[in-house]
Amino acid sequence: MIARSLLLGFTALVLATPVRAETLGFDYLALVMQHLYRWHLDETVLIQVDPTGTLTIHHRDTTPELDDTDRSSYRELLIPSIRYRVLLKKADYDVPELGITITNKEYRIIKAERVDDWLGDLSGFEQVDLDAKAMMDYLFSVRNQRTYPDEALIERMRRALREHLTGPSSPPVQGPQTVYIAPLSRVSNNLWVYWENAGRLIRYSSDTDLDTEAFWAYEKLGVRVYDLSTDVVISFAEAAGSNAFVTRDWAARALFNCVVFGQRLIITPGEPVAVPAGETTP
Amino acid sequence: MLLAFTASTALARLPDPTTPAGYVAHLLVNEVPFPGERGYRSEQDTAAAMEQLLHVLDRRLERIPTPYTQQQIAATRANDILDIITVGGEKGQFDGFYRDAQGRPAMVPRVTERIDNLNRIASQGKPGTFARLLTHAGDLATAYLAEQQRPSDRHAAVSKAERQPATGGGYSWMTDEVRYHPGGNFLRIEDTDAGSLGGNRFFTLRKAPR
Repeated sequence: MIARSLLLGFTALVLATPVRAETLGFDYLALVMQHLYRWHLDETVLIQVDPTGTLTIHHRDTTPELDDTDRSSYRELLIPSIRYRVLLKKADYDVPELGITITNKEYRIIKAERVDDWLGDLSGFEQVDLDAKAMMDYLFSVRNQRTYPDEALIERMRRALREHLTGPSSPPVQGPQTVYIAPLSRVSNNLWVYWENAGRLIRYSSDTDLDTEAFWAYEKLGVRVYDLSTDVVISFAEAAGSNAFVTRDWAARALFNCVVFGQRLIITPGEPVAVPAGETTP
Repeated sequence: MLLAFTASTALARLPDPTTPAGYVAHLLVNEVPFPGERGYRSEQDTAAAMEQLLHVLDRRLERIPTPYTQQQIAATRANDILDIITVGGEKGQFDGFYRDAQGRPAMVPRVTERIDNLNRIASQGKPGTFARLLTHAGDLATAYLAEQQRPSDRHAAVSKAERQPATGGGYSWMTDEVRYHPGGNFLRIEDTDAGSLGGNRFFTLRKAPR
């Protein structure tokens, strides 16, 4: 929950017509911007923002044709000041085979990308105008803010990681393994982990929220592993057509979020290990 | 031809992965999202993605447009779809699909683990979306390899992409984010031309290579 003082400050950022209650609220847009700041933006992007002007966010419904019983909705955000396009999804559908419902409490970011080829006609979009300076100040003020998994989620992560570390996709391991779990984002269902001993980045992802039992029905399905000694390129053009790689820029961001901001855990494959006092950060 | 892994369980809905049809079907399943997974949009969207993935493989094998060469597009010279898929090794054109040291088509463990999980889910309760999608992958691959049957091609008529004249047809796919682009003469097929399917972005070719 954003601190009340920040929320009041953020409310003051809005200059123009309020967003309709059933679409996107002020708190939510702040979280989106914070997520972009943490995971996507770089100096070349923020330097384009005119701090004396407004930061406009355009958004619209983009819900495509869905399965008959699917109640999900999609929205598209365009942020011209930083030339970013963000696609959001609020999932709500059943998976009868597993007897679960995939849901999100709020819209989740499913894609965020810098766009050079910009739409000229924004007439079909709703618009929110924010005070650019206030937004920049807000992002600066929360740049070190971290939200960690609660104990229940940490315990699930331990079990999942213990299994992954000794699985067929992993190299042989001996002894305690050190992992770093990146802080959570309230607007994303990606969970990043850095496995220090093996030099691997692991991404868990799902359409459903991280703090639901349904997520753990998908932990094995949604795992993606990058070996930092072999899977890093400067540019995807080096391996045209292959999805096997991650750019050094992206790997660096993930490592920063995991190692500098993240929560360190020690896992001994094969047996539960009580984490020594001080190892976890509240 | 001996392949480098054992067949899936008796409940599997895909052809035996030691067969060419099974290998192709495993690739189709590997590249698309199922319900609950990141990138899932709908059963129709995932099925459509599988169909277009098959078209990319087929085009790389048999429908290279003049004046391109197969080597330029597919990074290999091949007359076998398994060579198209396995080119470049484990982290080649189709991540996780490669030939082992004995030259046999193989898949990395994460591919078979996920597909085994999908099979298990598909086998729970009444056959639903998981079962239908796995069956669709198998049917596509089997029909293509047995009878050269191709599904309807959504990208065949694409004449322009990235504001440039295009050959039409899909010749590559990558994760559907702007930063993923094969570069060179590949052009991103727009959303309005069904360029985004199953979490993948499809690419056609510049009509006149530069």
